[in-house]
Amino acid sequence: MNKECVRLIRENRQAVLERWHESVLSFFPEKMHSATPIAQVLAEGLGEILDSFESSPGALRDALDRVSRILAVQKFPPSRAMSLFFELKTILREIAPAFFDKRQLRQKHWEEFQAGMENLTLEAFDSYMAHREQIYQLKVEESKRQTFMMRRRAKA
Amino acid sequence: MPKFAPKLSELKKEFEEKPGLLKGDYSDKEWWDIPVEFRDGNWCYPAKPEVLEDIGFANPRKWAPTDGDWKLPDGWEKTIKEGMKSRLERFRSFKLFLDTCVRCGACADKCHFFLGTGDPKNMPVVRAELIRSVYRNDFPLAGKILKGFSGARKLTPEVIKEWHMYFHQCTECRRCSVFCPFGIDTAEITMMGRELLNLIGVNNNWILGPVSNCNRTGNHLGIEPHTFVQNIESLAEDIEDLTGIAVEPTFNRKGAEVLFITPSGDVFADPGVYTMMGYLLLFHHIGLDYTISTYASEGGNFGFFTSNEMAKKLNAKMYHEAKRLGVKWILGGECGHMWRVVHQYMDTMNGPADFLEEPVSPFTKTKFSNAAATKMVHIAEFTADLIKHGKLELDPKRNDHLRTTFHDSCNIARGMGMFEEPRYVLDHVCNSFHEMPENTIREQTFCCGSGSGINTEEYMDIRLRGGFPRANAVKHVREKHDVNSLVTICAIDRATLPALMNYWNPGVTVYGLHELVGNALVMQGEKKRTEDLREDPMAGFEDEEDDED
Repeated sequence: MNKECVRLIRENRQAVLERWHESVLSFFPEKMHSATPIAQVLAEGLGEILDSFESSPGALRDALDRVSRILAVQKFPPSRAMSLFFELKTILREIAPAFFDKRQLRQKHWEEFQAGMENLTLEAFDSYMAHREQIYQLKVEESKRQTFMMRRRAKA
Repeated sequence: MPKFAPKLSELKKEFEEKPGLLKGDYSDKEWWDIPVEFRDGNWCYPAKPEVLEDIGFANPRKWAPTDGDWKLPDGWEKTIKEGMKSRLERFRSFKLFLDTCVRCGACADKCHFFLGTGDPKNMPVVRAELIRSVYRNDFPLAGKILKGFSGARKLTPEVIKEWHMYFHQCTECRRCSVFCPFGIDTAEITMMGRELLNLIGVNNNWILGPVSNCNRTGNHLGIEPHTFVQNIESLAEDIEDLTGIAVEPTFNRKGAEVLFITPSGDVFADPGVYTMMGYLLLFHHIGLDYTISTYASEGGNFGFFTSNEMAKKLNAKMYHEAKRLGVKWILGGECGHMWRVVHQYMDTMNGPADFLEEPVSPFTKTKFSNAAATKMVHIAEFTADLIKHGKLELDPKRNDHLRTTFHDSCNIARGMGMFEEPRYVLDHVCNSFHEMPENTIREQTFCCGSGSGINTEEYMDIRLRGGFPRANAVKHVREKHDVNSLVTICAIDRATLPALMNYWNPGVTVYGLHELVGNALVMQGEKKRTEDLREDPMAGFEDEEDDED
């Protein structure tokens, strides 16, 4: 991730997180209230994603996992779930001029950041799909548990 | 940007323009004008026609909620209205709950489905309003007083679709009623809603399939007596392999002191069977004179999720068998809704059980006067009493591989007020126990998200949403205390919490309370134990020979 952008995020963490969180909550049917357990877990997860730009890829993966675990069981389609990263881009683009003293982020840095976000979206999509697949796996396992004795006796 | 992904501007437009209850631009419309949308993962398969024919329920046909036309029977509006009228006359609670709500909203954020989905129609106040709005329109006096002022609507197929969706996003857990200043019990409104829907064949196969099975064979899985016996005997063989003890359960034995009834999930499904093994070990340990009926082979009662008449019919076998076998009283296993039916309805539905005696523990002489009416004792109470009187030899170290927390099952906690007994037992059979946060346990417990007959695979998405608040509380103790075991006393919990845990808290395993009792019991003449009832190694009990190798 581009250093300038990381600094932009670090020094505006609270404002970025609040706006980002707000926009993700509006994905839910009637905008999830920020005091609900889902909203709280999402806030933690989104915060971790922001922090992970400076730390390890492992931390990022864990954070993406937390967020996509919630998104994958929701009513809205995958495309909408993944659009949360576009929201982040918009937010950063809007706060950048003030932060860099009216000077826009240099094109090169912005492009680097864009590429980083695209990678992030793809990683998040992998995680989202892994959770969808897990849901199907849970269905299979549940069926198996229900017929536990039948299968056990068939084996014996 | 990928070809099929919507553009940001499109998404924004959708958010802004799509009708929403809490949005200003929707202020001139009513909440019920937002159509319901059935898509995969948010509906349960409807009952098969043959299932409905078996039990004489209305309108057998092939259909799906995603169909435009639900093939409702001729005159369905009249059926619903008359059904509502008759229920308003017969059930005072129904009338009272429809009339008294002042929409204060105290219930709104108490519902696990509202918390997990954010859908305003999942606020208990609105869920009740689904029926109340029709009630106001169609019942003159209520209408006269309330119409216009408080919203009344006509009964249309859209209303039925909405009822179907939202009365199946309520698990009748009653958490909302704990916080209602009037004590309005939305669970009873859901029960009535589902009764009305069943009158016109709008239903759920996961509920009615088991009802039909139970009606025929006595248990939800439709297992016949010989198989029922074989399964329990096969569990007894496992117990002998593990402990060297031959437990010898008897079936349909006349003259036994106690009839033992448990949900069939304990006899057939993983992980319920390990709880069954725990019961069998316990009964052998104390030398209980008990028998198991192959006819009253189900404690659970899915009839309860269709109509009170069906609940009554399926429940009747408990007393029939107790009478036929000539037992003194009934001991009941770990189950949730079974106990709601037993505790709150059995005596008036199928009692009085004057042919039974007030239950007395043969070992401690404790009189269970709380069960004086039903003559049926909950096993957690029975075991807690045994422990209190020092009748069990327990080695809690045998559960040292488990770091536990306890999930209060809604029907036991809120329905019966039983909080301490299971904790007392747990405290004596294991060394590591941590409570989840205060507002998620005891009378404020969060539902597993799959109770009341919606624990079916095709409904997994909704279940995972509804179960989120419970899972989130488990996550708290997992992170804080490294908890790896969720103990519960309900068969539906044992069936559904594993999926919930696998998804939200991987690494947390679900156990029945009496499975842990079974692990901890020191049996006379037993062989050296190294494994628990699941054949998982116990910590600190490793085989010495292996160590030497």
